[in-house]
Amino acid sequence: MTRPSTTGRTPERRRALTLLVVAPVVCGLLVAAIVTTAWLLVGRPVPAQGATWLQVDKIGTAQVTGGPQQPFFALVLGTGARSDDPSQSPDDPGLADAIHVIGVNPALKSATLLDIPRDTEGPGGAKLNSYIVNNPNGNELRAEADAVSSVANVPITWVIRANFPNFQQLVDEIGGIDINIPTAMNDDFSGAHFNPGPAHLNGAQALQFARDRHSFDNGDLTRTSNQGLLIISALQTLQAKHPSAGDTVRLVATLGQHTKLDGVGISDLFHMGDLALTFNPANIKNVVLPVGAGPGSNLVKTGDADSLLADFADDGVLQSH
Amino acid sequence: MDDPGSPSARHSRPRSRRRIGVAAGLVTVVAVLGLAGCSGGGDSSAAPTTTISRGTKVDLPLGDVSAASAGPAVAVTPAQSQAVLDVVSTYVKDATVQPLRSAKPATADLTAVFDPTTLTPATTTDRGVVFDEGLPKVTGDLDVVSQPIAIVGLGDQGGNLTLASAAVLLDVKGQTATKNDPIHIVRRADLVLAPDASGAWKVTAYSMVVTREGGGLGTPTTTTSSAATTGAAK
Repeated sequence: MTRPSTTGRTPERRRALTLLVVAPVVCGLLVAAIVTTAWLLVGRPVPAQGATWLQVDKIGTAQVTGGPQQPFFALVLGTGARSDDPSQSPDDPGLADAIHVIGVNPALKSATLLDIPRDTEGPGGAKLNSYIVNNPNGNELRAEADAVSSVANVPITWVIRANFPNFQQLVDEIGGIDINIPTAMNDDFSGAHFNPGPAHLNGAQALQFARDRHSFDNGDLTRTSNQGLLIISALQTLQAKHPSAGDTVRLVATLGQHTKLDGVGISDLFHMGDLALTFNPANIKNVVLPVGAGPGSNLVKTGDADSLLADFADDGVLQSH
Repeated sequence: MDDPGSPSARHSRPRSRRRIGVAAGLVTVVAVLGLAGCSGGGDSSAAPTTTISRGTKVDLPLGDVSAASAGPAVAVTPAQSQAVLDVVSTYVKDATVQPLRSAKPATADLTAVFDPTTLTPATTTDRGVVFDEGLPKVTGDLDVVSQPIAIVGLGDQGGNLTLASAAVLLDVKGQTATKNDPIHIVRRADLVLAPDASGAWKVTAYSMVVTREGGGLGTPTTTTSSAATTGAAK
């Protein structure tokens, strides 16, 4: 009976063979583990400079500006008054010679400036710049907003207005405005004498730039467009400074000191300013309301205006114009 | 068929048991050493000059406090400054300390920190930035140190304090199970706070940038982005 004795030895041989193969591997691993553990405990090694062993690395940013989430329309007015006291401004009662409706779409982070020439005819046939000084109900900003709203066919939520000294002080206190002047300007009436190209304007110079209409063949049409350009350039200038929230607080306080507001509180203004600072200026259009000759020296909307205003009204920004 | 009672089987069993016993002993030694190497407590014995505390330190000092106003001058009172700091402190404990200590998502109710406008994005689309979740568990020291927090108040044209900004720069370091490579978080946050109808100050706008690095995970993770959030990973 050789078979039983043979089969009785085979498992033992197999175990011995297995031990012979596995034992060195297991022992090697154990020795390596012990050496590594001792190295970590005693040696306390650190990664070589510029190297990492294991690393998780995350960078993220988030921003919520608060304020309105839906499209809205604001009215920015500049008047020629030299003071809020009429007795101190005998030459100009405060006509709104700068009229800009700003449509804002927070979700799209886009905006459109609709520049409206001051001579555009308003409800009842008066020039659009005059409703601010002819307000039987006593709220001059709301009276002007209602008139502009009827021309632009959009609801105007809030109004902000600056007169001449307000505007100059505001620009000076925010540190001036960097702008790319589109064309040569030489106008002794406003004092604007600028070469085309990049410029940094202080308050007085910014006012000269905003007032000049004599340097252009189409007068007030280019002027109002330049005013829109100045607003966008001011935003770009502020964005370039990368203001913190604390900086924005101070900017908004400065804005509030030199303007008159209607329909908006200072907190709302902060949130809107905070929002505007996130906009890419390339996503802000600057468009002059299409107007032509009307009765007398008035201007009236042309046929092109209707589709533009419809485009503007639907979501605060122009898509097809 | 091998007979369990055969001489060969009887002779081989004691040798096998000895071998198994030796192997088990070695494994136990290695396991004990390995566990000691992984635990934070090992540092104190190995490096007597380093005092290991398993506590959590949160340091949020108040910095410059100022105010700007659209009307008459306003001031941020000490009580208002403290209210702002309290909100920041609650945020840090709920969004950073608790998730790091537990390695689980934050469970705290943050309605005392964020107003209704900011609560939704902070807890959804911006969660990956606002909360320190999904990171290795901090088993050793956890230090949350802030640069002095500067507060700027905003007064309205009537001279009333309407909101305040708080500039927060947090440096978070926590010892995880990965030796010599603690988790390190730097969060720069511009918080804007305003009192709600009950007078409780809450975050009404925020801007945050966070960088996280450290041991424990081998694969870089991308932060979720959304309309209100941009994220990047490297």
